[in-house]
Amino acid sequence: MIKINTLKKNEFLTFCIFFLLALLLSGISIPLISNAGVMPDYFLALFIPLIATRFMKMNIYILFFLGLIIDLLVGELIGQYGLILITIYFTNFVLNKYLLFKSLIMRVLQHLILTTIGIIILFTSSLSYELNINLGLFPIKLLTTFLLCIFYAKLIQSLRRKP
Amino acid sequence: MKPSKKELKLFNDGQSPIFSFIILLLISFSLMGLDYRKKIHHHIKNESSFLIKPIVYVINLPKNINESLTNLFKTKSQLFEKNLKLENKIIDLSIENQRLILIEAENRQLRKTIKISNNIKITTIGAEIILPKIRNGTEIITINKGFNDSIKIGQPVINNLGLVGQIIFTGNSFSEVNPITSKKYIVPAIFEKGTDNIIVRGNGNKYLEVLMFPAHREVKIGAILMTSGIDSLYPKGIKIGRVIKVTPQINNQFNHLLISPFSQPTTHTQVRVFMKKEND
Repeated sequence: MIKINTLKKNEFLTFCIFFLLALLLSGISIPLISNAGVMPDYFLALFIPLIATRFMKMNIYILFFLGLIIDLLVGELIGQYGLILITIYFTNFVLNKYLLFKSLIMRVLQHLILTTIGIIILFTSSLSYELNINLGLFPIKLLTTFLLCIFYAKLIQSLRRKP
Repeated sequence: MKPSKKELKLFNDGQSPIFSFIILLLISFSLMGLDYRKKIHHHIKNESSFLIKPIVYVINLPKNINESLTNLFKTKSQLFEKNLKLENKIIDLSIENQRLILIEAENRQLRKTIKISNNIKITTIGAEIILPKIRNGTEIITINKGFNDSIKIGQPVINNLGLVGQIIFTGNSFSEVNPITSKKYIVPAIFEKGTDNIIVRGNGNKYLEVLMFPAHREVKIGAILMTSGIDSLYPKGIKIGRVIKVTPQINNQFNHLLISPFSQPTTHTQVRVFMKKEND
């Protein structure tokens, strides 16, 4: 029981650190990806592995609430990230219901599908509500976000393996 | 054979979140629609600016430390050199100012003669552009003056090159500026020659545009656009940008004008915010 509680506490702490890191990175221009359109979506890249690995067993309501916080801190439209996160959660549920992701390639594909869905919703909602987004940079944004997503997934996996 | 309910649950035996998903989906769409129309995001953000302040502080910390160290180790000769340059600049500007005072007096006299209302007098405050210049994939401009310096939402921001943007958010010690290239930015403009009152808007991609400019009106590549001042928000005559492309629309009744702004967020560090307007 004590071990489970410590594990939960550690996971919460890890999540807080990752969240703050994403918050800081989203406000920093990193060389090579300093162009606003090319920059990866740090929150999307973070939440996809968290949802896919059922980190902290976050349910759809918690994700929606976190999405609203992201909208408030870095977003331009309230409800946009809430919508993205709940859609990713639901898609992941459906994928896990009918498919089994066991091997590394399968898991990478799962992350690619979720990233693509997230980016598509981000772009369509931004276009609908006239937010600043460059449609021409969609493939590059998808690629950078996906690569960061894989990095986060590996990081989470290695942290979980730690005794 | 029809599969039973139990057989349909393949690899995930958790409870289906479909009902919660639909409810939250509806809430999301309602919130987005409400925010788009009522701009509740800005109000909430203004109320909770204390949440963003630490982020701005941390992002600016390395830059501030670097500046402090550079200032600390600046040599006397470097300071003398800089001082000399600034003094020369002051002399140049005061010569230019003398000429402008004369022109202004003439202008006032002419306005009186032909009975045109006087120009608007404007007070401005200087501010420095700080980090972040980017926020989650969107270019933003943050300045180091806020609510404590009487900065208010809606005030125009300019620099020596031209129009920079408009204040959209004010914290206690910092503010955010909506750049002129933003899709949510619209400004009434006029050509340098004083012809054609038009509406210019940002295209969200480092340029501005005029969507429907009458095809029968003459426009040349390189024509300069300035604020027309008819909105009583921006003073007349601030440079906006230069026409770089004219594209005929499908029906040939209108042209699409692409405008390159004079000022980009990366081309300056100092800006001025228009504070209040008084009649002469």
